[in-house]
Amino acid sequence: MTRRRWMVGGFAVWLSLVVLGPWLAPTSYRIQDRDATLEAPTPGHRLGTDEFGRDEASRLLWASTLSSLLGLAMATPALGIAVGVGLGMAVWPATMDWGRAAGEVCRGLPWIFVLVAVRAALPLNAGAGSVAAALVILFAAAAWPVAAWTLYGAARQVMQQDYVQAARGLGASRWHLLRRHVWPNLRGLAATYFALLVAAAIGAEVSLELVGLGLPQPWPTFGNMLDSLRDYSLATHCWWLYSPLLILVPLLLGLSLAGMERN
Amino acid sequence: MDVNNLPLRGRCQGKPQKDRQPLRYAEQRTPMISEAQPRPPRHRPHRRAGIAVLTVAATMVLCFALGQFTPGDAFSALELDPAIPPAALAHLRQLYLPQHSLGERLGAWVVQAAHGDLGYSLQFHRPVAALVRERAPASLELMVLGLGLAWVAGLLLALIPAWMGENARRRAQRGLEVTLHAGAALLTALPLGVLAVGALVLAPPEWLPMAGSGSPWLPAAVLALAFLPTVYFQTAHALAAVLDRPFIWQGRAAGFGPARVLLVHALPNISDILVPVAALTVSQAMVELVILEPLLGWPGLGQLSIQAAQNKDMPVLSALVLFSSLVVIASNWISEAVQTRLNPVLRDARWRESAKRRAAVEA
Repeated sequence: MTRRRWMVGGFAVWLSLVVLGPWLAPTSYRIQDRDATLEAPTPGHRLGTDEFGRDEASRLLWASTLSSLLGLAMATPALGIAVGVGLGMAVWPATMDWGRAAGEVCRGLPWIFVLVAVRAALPLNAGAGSVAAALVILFAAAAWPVAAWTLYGAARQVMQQDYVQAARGLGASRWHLLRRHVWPNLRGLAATYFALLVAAAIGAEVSLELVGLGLPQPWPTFGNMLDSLRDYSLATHCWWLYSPLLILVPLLLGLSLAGMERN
Repeated sequence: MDVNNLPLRGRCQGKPQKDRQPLRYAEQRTPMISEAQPRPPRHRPHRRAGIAVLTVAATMVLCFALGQFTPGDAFSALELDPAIPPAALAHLRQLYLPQHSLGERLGAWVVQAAHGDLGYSLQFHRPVAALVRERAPASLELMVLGLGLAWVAGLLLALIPAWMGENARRRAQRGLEVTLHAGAALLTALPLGVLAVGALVLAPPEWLPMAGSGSPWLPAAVLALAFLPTVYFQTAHALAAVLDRPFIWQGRAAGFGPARVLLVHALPNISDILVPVAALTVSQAMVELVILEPLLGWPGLGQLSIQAAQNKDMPVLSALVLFSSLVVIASNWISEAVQTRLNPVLRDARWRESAKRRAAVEA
């Protein structure tokens, strides 16, 4: 019970950060204070400034909103496809071969190279919208098969239960079985997978940003902010530039613990 | 007396056996990942080959589409240079870029790729196949070392608490398990990019590949850290599940030592779970290389892909897409072939099936 309370509390904190982040930010994420670049934390800039003199605290608050929303946007279609295919294969066994084949083909395709190629194909001044769209589509294509397997395995176990067999014997349609028995039993597992997928999406965005494949610069995301740490002298002297980890690590840890809880 | 039908609860010390009663609706257990993975029921080579052909075809069409429908080409950057007249650019394009219809180009590309000719890189002024051949060994070395480290360490970390449990040191086992779980969970919360940047900052500069040490150990260690939680959690979950099965209790009751129980009976029986995970880590590692190599300056295929992306070098990118999908297909094939041979249950099933087939042929 206490664990559940922790989870709900953490979720509430995250949600309020996502909703209120931009309002809590002291200044804009893009205002450059050119007289105060790379300044250690002061009363004016609570978390210091980056190399362009942008307020780190404001950028961090904006980033927690933007990165979380991007993560949610990336994970939702992936989960949708996984639930659709996984449960569909269990309830309509005739579709099984097609679902498996689609999953294996999708797993065999190297989506990261495709992402690299798509990024190369986009014009250099590509807007954040088109980059985000590419991330959402390619993450969904890459991430659904594994989740779909798990959901399929669980759904097949539900389909073999006595009460489902009884319902089938009494003439229930497959849609009815899906709505009444399979989905209510798998909601928890799907929610778990959603947490894991969101964590994977946010982590992937950070990594991609560090090799220059994420959202373009003025927009703050966790990866975008950590990007300056690739400069060795900045990384060793400007300790306040590590501040994104303060939110990123607990967020990813919480999401993956929430995912493990139900598994 | 049939040993299999003995009541287990009376005989075994330690943890009581779980109820084998069917679960009621309200308290149904959600299955663990490792349990829910479908086992390969039959050996179906035609299906596997079909999937491989489909994947390669999809990859080729994707590569071709990327090369053809993207705005800009290798000469786009020259347009910005006022010293080069547009007529000269048009001439260059006519010389170097194909001018045929779409269908012809697709056909030509497939035929060329099938002959091992992946095109010409205008960025490096070399054939793409030679570039890939030159960079692939470095990536392979990094992947083998990194995944090898991750698997050895992950298996050991999962086996040590199980070993303690076999020796009836429950409290020590529980403590170690909690610590390892927490550590692994913390590691999953650090994205690979953050791990790589951490290595850049924390490691002595002379260890870094770009400082001239050609040693792969630092990038391999980062790669291993990224995969350690996956390997550890999957092995630990699967081990916990199998160590509670009747045949293991039977072995313990017959007086088998911990080494025999764990290594001879438990590990082979979870190999059908671990081998697909291994294949998954290989395909995942192809992804991680693209992030790890440019950050740590390791001269492999991942770094090549980012360099190619910066210069819109589409032939190189298409070749890399194709190459890595071939690697993933190969790893899936090997995993399916190995899986049925390592697990005693699946091996027996295979043997019985082939015996049945032989009997049918004789009859």
